[in-house]
Amino acid sequence: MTHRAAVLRLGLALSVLVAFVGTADAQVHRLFGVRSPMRDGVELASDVWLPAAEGRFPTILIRCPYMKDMGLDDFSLGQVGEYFAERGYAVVSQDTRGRGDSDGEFDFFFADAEDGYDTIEWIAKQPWSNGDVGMIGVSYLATVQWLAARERPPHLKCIAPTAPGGDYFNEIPYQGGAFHMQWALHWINGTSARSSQVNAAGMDMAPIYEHRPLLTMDEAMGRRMQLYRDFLEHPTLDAYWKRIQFAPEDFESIDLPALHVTGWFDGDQPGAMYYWNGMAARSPAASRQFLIVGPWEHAQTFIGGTLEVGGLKFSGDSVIDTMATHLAFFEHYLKGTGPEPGFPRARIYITGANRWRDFDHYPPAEAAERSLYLHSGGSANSLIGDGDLSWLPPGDEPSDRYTYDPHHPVSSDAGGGYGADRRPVQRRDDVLVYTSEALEEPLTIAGPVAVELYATTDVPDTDFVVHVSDVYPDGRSVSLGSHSGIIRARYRNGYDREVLLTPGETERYRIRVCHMGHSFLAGHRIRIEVTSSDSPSINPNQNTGNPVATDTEWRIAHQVIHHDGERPSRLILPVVY
Amino acid sequence: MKHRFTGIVLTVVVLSMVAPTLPVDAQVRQLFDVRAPMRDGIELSADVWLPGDGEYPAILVRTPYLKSMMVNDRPIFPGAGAFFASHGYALVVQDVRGRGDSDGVFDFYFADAEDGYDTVEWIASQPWSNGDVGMMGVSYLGAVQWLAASQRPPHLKCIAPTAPSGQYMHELPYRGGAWMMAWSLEWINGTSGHAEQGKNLEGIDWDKVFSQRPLIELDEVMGRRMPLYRDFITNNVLNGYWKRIILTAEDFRRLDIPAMTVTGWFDGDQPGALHHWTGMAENSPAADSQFLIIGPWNHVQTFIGGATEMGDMEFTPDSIIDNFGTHLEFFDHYLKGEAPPLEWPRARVYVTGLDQWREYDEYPPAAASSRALYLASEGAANGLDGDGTLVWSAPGGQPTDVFTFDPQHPVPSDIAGQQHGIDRRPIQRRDDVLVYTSGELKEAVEITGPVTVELYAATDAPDTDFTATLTDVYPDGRAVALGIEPTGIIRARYRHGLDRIELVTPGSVERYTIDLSHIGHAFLAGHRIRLEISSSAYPAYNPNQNTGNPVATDTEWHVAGQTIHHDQQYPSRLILPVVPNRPSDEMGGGGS
Repeated sequence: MTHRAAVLRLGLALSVLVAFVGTADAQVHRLFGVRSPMRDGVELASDVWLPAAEGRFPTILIRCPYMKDMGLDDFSLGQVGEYFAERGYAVVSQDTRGRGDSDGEFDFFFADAEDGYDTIEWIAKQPWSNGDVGMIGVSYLATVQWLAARERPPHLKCIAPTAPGGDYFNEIPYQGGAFHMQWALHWINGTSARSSQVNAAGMDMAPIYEHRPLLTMDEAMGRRMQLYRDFLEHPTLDAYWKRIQFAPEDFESIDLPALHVTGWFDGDQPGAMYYWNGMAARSPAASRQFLIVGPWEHAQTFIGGTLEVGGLKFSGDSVIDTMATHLAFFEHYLKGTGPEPGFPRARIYITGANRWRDFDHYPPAEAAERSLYLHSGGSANSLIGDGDLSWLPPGDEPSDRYTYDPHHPVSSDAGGGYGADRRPVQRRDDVLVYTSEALEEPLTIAGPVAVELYATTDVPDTDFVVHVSDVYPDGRSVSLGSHSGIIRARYRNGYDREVLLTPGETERYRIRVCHMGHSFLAGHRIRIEVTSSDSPSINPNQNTGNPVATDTEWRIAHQVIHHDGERPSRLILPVVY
Repeated sequence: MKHRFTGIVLTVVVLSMVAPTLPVDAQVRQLFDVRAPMRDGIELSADVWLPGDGEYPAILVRTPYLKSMMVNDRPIFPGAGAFFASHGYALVVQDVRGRGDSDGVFDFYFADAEDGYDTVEWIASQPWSNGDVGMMGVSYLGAVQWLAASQRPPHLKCIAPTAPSGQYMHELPYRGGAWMMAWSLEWINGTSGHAEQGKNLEGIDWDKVFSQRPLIELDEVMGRRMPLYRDFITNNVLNGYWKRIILTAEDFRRLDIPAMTVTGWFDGDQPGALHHWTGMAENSPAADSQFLIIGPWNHVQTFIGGATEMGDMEFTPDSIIDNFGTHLEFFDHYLKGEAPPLEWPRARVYVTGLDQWREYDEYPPAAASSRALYLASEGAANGLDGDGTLVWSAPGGQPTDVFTFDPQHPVPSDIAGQQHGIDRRPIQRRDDVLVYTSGELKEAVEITGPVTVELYAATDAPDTDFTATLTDVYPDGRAVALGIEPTGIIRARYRHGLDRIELVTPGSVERYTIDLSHIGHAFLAGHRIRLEISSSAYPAYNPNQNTGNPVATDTEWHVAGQTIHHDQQYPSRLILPVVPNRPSDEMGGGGS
């Protein structure tokens, strides 16, 4: 009953929001190519949308490295400008430093804290500004909000970061310490000059991904990219990263309301959750933080979802009017005329059950960690192996073994994307597959999913990769989450140092997968895969223990996964009822 | 027989164009953001696609629309790069000065002659170049080829300009001296920064912007002050500002370079394409290596391929040709020098209505002769229900036709955003549009070449506009628009030349010549030929405010009373370039 009531509240909130839309005034005034000076004299360019009437308005700032008039499908930042200008806001869409019409050099997020601060304070001095500034945007456009907020610009009143990156060793460019090769090459190429770069479209990347050393793969692709090399030359969480990687205590001084949005299939979910957890735990404004997690991919978190992702299907109310949600937030926290938005602390959409649930905390206080233990008779290799998962810890059981050849990695493309049927991957002999019995009643999880693995290898460094899926009664093995979990062995003791293995010694690896909100329905099974690669998404570990950026050697690794009384490898689920 | 054979040859050519596909073992190499220094030290950025590690003939594309240009939501240059690299060419795609990743400040074409020269010569010095350079591209990317060629860079071997502009008082930003208001605002906004602009205009209330005066401030009403917009609207005669970028007979006499010119019957830059074509055909030492293709295409389709329909017109599938394949044939001979001589006809034109390709040894065809259709009426030609007719001989004494032109209620230049090949009857129903329609044709009238109207008209204003639009009236009644805009226009103050402004004496009858562009079309038996005469086509052209004041700063609006004469003394007429009828079996059975 309580959940049904929550759904009804959401319905009411939405109809209130729709009422705002009705007050829209179509008169909008535009200022294109407006230039604001930063503290070092570099000028950044913005397009500005204003209500046509003379006046001073609360202002919403967008800072974008993808061009200030970026479009996504049928959606564009210009529409955001119009939408809010019609509702009494000024909207500023700015090219970040070195991109689009802005001067200077692009250097990832490293100038965005100061540039964000300077832009906010510049806005507050404009004749069309009433001095109150908020921020909006997705992905890069969201991370810049956190970076600006940490500088505490006096005129910044609230932020609405959707799907921000921010956990640089658990997300991009490193995840579990492993390098996101495909993302790094394409994203950095895409931002390697002022204008948008699409020159790699359709390129045959296969020979390029085989190029070693990794450090010069950029030239094999088409150009030397300084940022790519900087990323690779900083393979630990060092001062290079700490300039932008928030520390837990940073949140203590961020006293701002924030609307956090991410998705179960959002590649930047780790960053979004990092900021959410930090603010919920430490910010003086903890009671003005709001979280929405939907069944959405990265861009959908901002432009709206769809009724299916891969093989997963969702209810109609999984698609929300994201602009109206932002409007309700800004009407109260920025313009100050609207009522409290009445958002629950956290609103998450449980896939499988296909309904929204509201919680006072996230992860939900009522979520309990439960473990599904790996079992087998010693041959869990592939779909036809004997691996299973059960709630009972293992006793005396033989270990599972597979051979990992980095020249023949498991394909991150064969997995087919979010919600895809994983069976093509699970047919490989170098993929261990563990499947539970069919569930007698639904099992709902909400929160972080992890795997604890006891493993041995015969090389000084290697990777371990896990993937969670929901096996439907018809046999489909539907991928869950925004990515596979991975740990690069040398980072098992932390990302701030590289510690090679002693070949043959068993180690315990804690592998973060991601947050999931899902009901495994009755009759379904829970499955995990364990393997050692996910390429070209992640660079295949060459198993040598050499420095990754310059390594040109390749070794084959022989992996042993243990599941016995002393070494109980397990899948850890946050179960709610 | 000859023409039927022609049709077969073209079909074969089209099939062979489709055939080239990427060799499977192609190992294309890319170089991104390669920077070339110009003579003034400014660096321009290019992406380069190479077949491998050798030295290759290079094809240069210079674009203000960014190396990342998307066509139909797909980036066009990576595919073009892979295509030409797999056929043994280097493809160099460069952002022009001030655009994309290139440094400097964008200033229309005014730096492109020198930047083009410098880039061609820079390419020739690269280790991946064999020293032979060609150019290709459409629109702006076409015009820069002529500007580079005009500087005669030693390593430039041939060019393939598609739909290049080139006549700046009679194409863009002015046509017949009338200001192309919508184009100027949108295009200049779109090039007002390094990055692509334009999505910033989504949702803008254009009618509100276009209604403001003075015109010179419409840029700020839209969203920003644009120096180029103000330069354009201030340089309102064919003066030294424009002559820097208009090629003359003198230029063409020195241009000894093979060129493939492509344009379309619905291409707004057809005037420039044919300006260059005619200049080369008449003057160039390389007149024998000039080739022309005109299809039933709009501006973009001239490069990316057409469609089998345009508005309410339909075409045969062979009207769509493989553009890259055509370019490859041209470059294989004139740039790579390996292929056998091109057996192309001098000019290939697709005649709409007839729906056949025609080949000619010269263009406009020598066989075409001017025939006039005279305007006639009993003095009430207004609208579709009026009594205006078109007749093959000048009428005797006839009353004039009159209409009122209110620039604040102008005739639309499009219907729901469409203009080419559309049924114009909704416009022809207006009372301020005079409509003259021929009798039903007993046999087809095939025209190919420039179409003009000679109009004898008086106005009670010191300046005004006269417009003309040609339509083909099908047996089912639809009146389908022909020509590039499709409406042609003359601003009265420019009636004696685009290089000077001369106001008119209210009430005096003047002769106006209105250019309706080149048209290749057959009005089939059973069809009628219809001409509209009016005074505006909004928002393509700014409505003449009828004051005679300087256009850029004018804030007054007058209503003009217009009088169109059509009698022995003032024989207003439509002049058609008629190609003699061929034996009926050659007409494709189109005469039903």
